[in-house]
Amino acid sequence: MPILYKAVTFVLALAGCAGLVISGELNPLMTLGGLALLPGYYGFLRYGRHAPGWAVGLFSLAALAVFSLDAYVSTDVFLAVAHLTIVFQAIKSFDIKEPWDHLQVYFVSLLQLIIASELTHSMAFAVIFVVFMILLVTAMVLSHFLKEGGLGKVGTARPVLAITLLCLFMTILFFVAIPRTPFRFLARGHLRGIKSVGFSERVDFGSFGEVKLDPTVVMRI
Amino acid sequence: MRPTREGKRFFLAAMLIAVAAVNTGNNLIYLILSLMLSFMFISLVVLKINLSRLSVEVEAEDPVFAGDKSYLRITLTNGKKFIPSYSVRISGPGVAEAYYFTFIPPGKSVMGKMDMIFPRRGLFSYGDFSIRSGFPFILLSSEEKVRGQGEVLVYPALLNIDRAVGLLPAGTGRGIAKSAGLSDEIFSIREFRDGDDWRKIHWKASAKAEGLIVREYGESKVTKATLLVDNLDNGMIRRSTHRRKGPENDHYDAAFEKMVSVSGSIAKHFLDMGYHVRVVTCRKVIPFGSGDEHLLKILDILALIRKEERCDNILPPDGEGMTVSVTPSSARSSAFNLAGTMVVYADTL
Repeated sequence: MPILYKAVTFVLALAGCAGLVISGELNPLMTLGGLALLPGYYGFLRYGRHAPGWAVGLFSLAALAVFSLDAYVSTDVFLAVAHLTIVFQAIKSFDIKEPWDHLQVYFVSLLQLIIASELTHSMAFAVIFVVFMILLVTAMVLSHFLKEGGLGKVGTARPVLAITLLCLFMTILFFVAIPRTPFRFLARGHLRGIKSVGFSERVDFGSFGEVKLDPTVVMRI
Repeated sequence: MRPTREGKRFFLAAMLIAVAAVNTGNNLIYLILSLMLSFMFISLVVLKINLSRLSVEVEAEDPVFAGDKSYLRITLTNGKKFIPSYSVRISGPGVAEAYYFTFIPPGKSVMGKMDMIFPRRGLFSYGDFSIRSGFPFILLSSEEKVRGQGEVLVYPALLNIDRAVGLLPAGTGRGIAKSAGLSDEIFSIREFRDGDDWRKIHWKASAKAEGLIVREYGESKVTKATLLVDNLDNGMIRRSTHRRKGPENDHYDAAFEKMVSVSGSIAKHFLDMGYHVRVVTCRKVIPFGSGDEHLLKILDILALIRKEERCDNILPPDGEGMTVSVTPSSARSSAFNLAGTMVVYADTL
């Protein structure tokens, strides 16, 4: 399996996890397991090795148990799922054997970006999203050639570049064209608005609220 | 065009994300949904363009025999002026394994070799080949029919005829006879006799012998064989049944095909031994000839031979070499009733 394809898989997994971490909403303790991603992909990239099946199964069960505890203690299933995806990415980095395994990594990364999009409105996330998109197109084209047995026999730079540009254009087009509706029928978004100071006609002293971090002076007395 | 296993899952995921986007109204989820939709759209459009204006030409490299693996040269031409095609597989009738072309530059052709097995003899047009691709992603796969240009003549299978060979003459067929003749090869030298041609005098030998010595040329005596291929459709089985369907006639058809194969194999056997071979069927005669090219001429006729209602060629007993008659079934008599003919029944081999 070409190193380029492996490297793209690693960066996609990293982008998914980074998207979640930069939201700042995750519990750092619960994301520590994600650090295993680095030795996992190091072994995969350098030696192409993977962990035995029983070990992967054992760690997966442990991750599910931690997820249940996390969801119970924090009472926030959404964040618990976010933690779980990071741990799963780490476990998967020790268990990449077949082309289908790469697609699983891409799917989990996509899931992580979807979760992250609910947790943050940060511009850094947009950068990660663009990197993710370009790499995903690359990975999908490479996975096609890998599946057909043509990887390494043809230059992939041109088709990847052309398809990435086309994909970028079409994504913008679809993004603008898809109609939005005001109806929310299942649940509200996880992201809460940040309360900020301000004035209305009436000010109640002694009331509490979060203060938005903003260096602008709002009042001089 | 149909979705692959991965494509079905991707489509399902896109549906779920669409629900999530509508439900939350989150623009980032709409962005991810847009990305997934663009993937599907590009899969569809690029795949369509990738397979458009591709044409296939097929050509057999060597003589093709029924039932044998033969190699076909495939030429895939990209008729698009500016857009290349990637990752195209070609398969066709009788093709053991689809051939994979990684890259076809715009306006150019690429060539490959494909294994193919034709089940029976005859003239085949290449028919429909299919070109298949899933480029650029692995979400969709499309297969289109393209007509392969050209025809191929499939020769009858050549059989192992050891059992029949035991009955056929062995040894080399061509030789210089032990008698004087008119060939170019010197048979012997002898003293000059009255009436000898002066041009045949061997001057060097005459000088040594101190008398006139003449060259005597040998007669090149070529051994000949005539192969009678009995394709007359008046067999006992044929006459006894009204319609051609039924196990007996199936058996007869199989025996007929075997007769064609045996005929080709015997002709090859004689030609390999240096014989000059003539082939006579009910409607056609291939005159005496030798060598590989002559074998191909014989196989050309045998590839297309069919049962005939009447026999036009009544072979005169000219006694030119030996005669072998090949007949489909021992249950009927040969169409060529010639004295001294060796008869080979195909169904007994």
